[in-house]
Amino acid sequence: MNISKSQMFWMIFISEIVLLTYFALGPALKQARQDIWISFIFASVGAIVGTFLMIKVSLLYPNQSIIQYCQTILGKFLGKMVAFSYICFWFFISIVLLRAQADFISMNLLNKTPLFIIVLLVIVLIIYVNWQSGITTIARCSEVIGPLLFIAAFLPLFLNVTHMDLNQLLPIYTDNKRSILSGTLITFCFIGETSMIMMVTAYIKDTKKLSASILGAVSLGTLWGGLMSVAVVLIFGPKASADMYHPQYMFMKSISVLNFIQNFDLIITFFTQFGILIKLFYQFSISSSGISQLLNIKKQKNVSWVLAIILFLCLMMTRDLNYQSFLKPWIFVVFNFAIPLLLWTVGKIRSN
Amino acid sequence: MLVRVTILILLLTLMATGLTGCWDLTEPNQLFYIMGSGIDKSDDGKIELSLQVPLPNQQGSNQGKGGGNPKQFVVVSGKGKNIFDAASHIVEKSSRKLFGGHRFVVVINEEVAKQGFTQWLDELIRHPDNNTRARLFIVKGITAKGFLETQYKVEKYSSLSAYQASTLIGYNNLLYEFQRDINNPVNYTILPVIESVTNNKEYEYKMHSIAILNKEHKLMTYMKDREATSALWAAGKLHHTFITHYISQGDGTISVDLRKIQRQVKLNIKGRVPSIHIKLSGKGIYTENNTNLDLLSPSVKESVTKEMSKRIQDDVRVVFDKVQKKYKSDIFGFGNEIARKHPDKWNNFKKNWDETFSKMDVTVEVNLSIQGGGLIGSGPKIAK
Amino acid sequence: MFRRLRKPKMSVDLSLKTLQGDQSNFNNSLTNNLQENYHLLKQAFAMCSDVVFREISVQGQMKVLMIYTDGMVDAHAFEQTVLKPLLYDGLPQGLGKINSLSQACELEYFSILDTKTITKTGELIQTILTGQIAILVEHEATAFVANLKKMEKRAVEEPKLEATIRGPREGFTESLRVNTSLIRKRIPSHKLKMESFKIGKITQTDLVVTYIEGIVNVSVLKEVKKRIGQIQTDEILDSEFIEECIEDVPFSPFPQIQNTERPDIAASCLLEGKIVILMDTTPCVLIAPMTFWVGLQAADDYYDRFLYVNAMRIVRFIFSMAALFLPAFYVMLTTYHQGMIPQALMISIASARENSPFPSAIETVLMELIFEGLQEAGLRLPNQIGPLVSIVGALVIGEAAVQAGIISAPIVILVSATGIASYVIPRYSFGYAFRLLRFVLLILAASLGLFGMAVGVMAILIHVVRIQSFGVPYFSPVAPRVWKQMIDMIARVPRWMTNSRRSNG
Repeated sequence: MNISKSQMFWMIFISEIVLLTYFALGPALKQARQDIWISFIFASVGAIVGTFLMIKVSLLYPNQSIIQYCQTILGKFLGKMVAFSYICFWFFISIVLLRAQADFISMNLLNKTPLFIIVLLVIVLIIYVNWQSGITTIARCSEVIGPLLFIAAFLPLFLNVTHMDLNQLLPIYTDNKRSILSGTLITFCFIGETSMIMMVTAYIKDTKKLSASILGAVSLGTLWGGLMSVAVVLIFGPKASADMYHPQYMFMKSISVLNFIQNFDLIITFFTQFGILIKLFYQFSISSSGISQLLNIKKQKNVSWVLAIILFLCLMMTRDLNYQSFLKPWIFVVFNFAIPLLLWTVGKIRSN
Repeated sequence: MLVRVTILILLLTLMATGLTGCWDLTEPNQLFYIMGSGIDKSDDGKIELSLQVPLPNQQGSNQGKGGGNPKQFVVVSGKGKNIFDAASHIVEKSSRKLFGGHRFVVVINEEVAKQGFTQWLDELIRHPDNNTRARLFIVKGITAKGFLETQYKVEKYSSLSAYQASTLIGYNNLLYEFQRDINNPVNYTILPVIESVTNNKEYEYKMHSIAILNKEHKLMTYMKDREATSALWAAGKLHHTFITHYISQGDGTISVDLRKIQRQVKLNIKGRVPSIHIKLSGKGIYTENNTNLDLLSPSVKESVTKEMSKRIQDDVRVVFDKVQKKYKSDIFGFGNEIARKHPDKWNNFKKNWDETFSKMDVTVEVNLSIQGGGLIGSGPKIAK
Repeated sequence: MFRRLRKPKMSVDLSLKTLQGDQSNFNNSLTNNLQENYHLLKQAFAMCSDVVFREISVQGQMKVLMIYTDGMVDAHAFEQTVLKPLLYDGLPQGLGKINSLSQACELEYFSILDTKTITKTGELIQTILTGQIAILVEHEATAFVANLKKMEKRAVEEPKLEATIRGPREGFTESLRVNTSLIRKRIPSHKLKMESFKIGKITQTDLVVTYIEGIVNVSVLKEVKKRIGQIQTDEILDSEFIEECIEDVPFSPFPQIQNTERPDIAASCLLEGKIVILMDTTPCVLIAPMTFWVGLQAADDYYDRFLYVNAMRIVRFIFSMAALFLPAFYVMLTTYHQGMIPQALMISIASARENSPFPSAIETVLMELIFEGLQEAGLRLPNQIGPLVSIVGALVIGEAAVQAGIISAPIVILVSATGIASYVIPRYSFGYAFRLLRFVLLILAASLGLFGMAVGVMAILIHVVRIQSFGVPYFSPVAPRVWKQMIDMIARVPRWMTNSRRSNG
């Protein structure tokens, strides 16, 4: 199982774009309105700090994943607790992500298809990927899909400049500091969601300049998010953007090139499907390898099967929830910022 | 081994049942592709929705025009409490599903506009298939259904002709732009108007006026021709235009085609009433010269441009007076400028902005930059 | 998932052990008695009418026995170099003067290049059947075997499936020696090694594994030789048998071993560090390892001007992807996401579909199947009927079906475009994958629209990324990314700009 730095870069980049697309832009715009770019700047600072801490912790113990070095740093019992909570967190993310994707497709693209078909196909793909050397396959796929998603994400931003009204961004920084802060928090939750680094860095052989790649991916993803939300505000105005469920989807719909290429949202949806599948794959993969490392199970394939069945059942049991009620920001702050900080400090103290 | 085989067979069967469905498959010939929607007021408080859809049978075949111009579209209409209700009544009468992804125009009757129509635009934006690049028009002199039903002389569908004409006249309003405008701090909006002129039993349409909507987005008044051009220009919404003025130097008319039009606003908010200096600029070429002046010489060009600018300035001045004194509605977006650039001061002005606007001191400056005059200088001489 | 053993599928064991006659004799040596040898061999070759026994009597007694297979030896050369010395020139005092045949060889009595002596019966039978002439004499328990093979073989001509506009027009033939000579003349280096194997219990086919020492990837070579050594089968009739036995994932639609009939391709692959496997009785040689992108490269990429080649590569790539995706894309757009197609085009398509009785998806599948059937028929047609059938196919199926209102016109355009696009794929065996997967994607797109197509493409991508060809990942250099190789794969630069050799993959 060998992953290279550029594969890591693309995996993180895809994760950033997908999470921003599905979760972050709508609620953040609702809070921060036209000052969304300020929230993005603050949130990116937080995300970069959090990711940097994660990389540093992982590099303290180069060939161990978090399940293993957690136990080394915090002691057996506490380490196992923390590791288990991370596994639950990753599994929770995959449930939420799969639910979001199934909802999006079911509501916007395929209205009458029963939900379990969509979910079933995705789960079959997940099992296929995890069949042998899951993470290597996923990394290679992301190396192929990453550049395509890059082009599909950045290109439409420049196609509708004629209709952008620059005045919609003003007034800058009025007295609603609270809304900017809540926008920052929401955005940070999703662009800082890079906790898979702690699990996957164990497979990277050449760790020189690793932080440059990963932080570069985080900043590139955040840049896209900022540009896209600014573009949405410029086209639609702050009040209308706050009203939207998927702002970038509406933005793509407004593009018309030469009066011929229209309704671009399908292209971005097509590539975002790939992105979200990849994010799902590796969330699932790290959950299952985490469990197999925690419980010392040799055959990871059996764990994958069991987890897939659990995932399917969980999804069938949830009833189209407004998942925003489940995504409390403090969960993300704890797992992506507080615990890496704790691990890093304790790890540093221990090694000195 | 046996377990694996069983699970595989189970999965494959489940997947096979899934693939027998094609639940969402709609053949292309099972849809009505809506070209244009029209909203009318009907009796008993309902609204009537009319949809112009193309008839597929006569398209793509090699038949020539057999006996006149056969109509290549059909207008279906239905009444309901709102758009979706009306559409469901249309579906009761039609054989196909409705698909709005290719919509060109949304036409609104002036009666509906007078009572406020923005709530009807909700369905057009909400549905994931719908197209928010449709252009909005207000139709005057005929119902929206009537407009959609008429057979236009050249284009196949009247909605397509409205769409293309609006590109030519230099001002159009897309649905999402309209939505952006009605959310501004000062939300007077302007919409283009299709006016029908009955001409020997054959309907003819002109797009020479604009409609002004007040704060509740209800139709307030119209403005025509030169007033409309000046108002649009001062509001910063004009893309390009053609202007013809009588030039006293040459004792004749000269026309200019302005391609790049801009407006700059300079605010001065000292004191209780702000004052505004507007700079309107345009770049273009001379297109017709009915005088004896030689438009190739730079000095003549400069003096003619100066006079043209002065005439336009007078026009804009007239419009300003009218709008400020008579209508007291800030359609030019000055309040938006203040709200954006000086938000703290805007709080003072917000409450009675209309009054403040009517008292504002507005100075206009027009700068035209005419680059060329075509191929010749003065044209055929006019004998005096 | 590599199958190491292939069990013989025939229930009858035709190995030499169970032939009629005395079992033990075939493992033994020849005897001194010529008569005994004669009877033994006559029994072994009973009913083999093409094996000729020629006895030469000296002084009324059979003294020399010659056995050969008619049609496989060069009779004239044999008469000149063996019979003549024996009958006329040499042995002035009868055969007693020369004590043994091996002595005769050592004395260079026969001017033949390739000779050897054999003592075991089984081996003797095998060598006779491969076109060598055996000579037995009285009082000797050895047979003298001379290689005077001359078999009918095809002339060296251009391979039909890999024609180029510019470049050499030589192709491999069915004779192993000719093939190795075609390679050797392009790479006259002593580092070009050719290791030979014999595979197949009955067919005993010669196999040569060629590589250039110093450039080749040693681990891949070891793997190849190991897998070849593990093949246990009765017959090998074509290189496809070997390909199936040694490839990594037999159940994949994508080939993992390249095959070619052109010696220049084989030579250039050798210089890249790949391994070429040549086989007797087939002109198709195998090249290992293979990646996905090799399938999209043509032979004359390196024989034409580079600017044109780069433009053609882009066209080729677009058309290859179109061969895979176009029908699925069309069905998806017209039946699920009509908003994506511009309005005027959509109206034309909708009106063309008015008169068609089938749903879009069924129509497309039907037409694709008919097209595949036409292709298959075209392969089997005799030359005289070929053009007629193609005209019939085009006119009848295309034109008349549309006129009759059975098929709509856009579908015919689509299917022919896809068919033509699939011929742009340079390697014919690589195109099989695209033609098969096109149907899978079509069905997925027809049932689930955009999402189905995304799932299908993802599944193909995962599969392609996962498989390896002898340890080299199939999708490299794009998925484990190696920048230098990737740039070389995308853009061909002139020779003088590349100062290092293209390495493996």
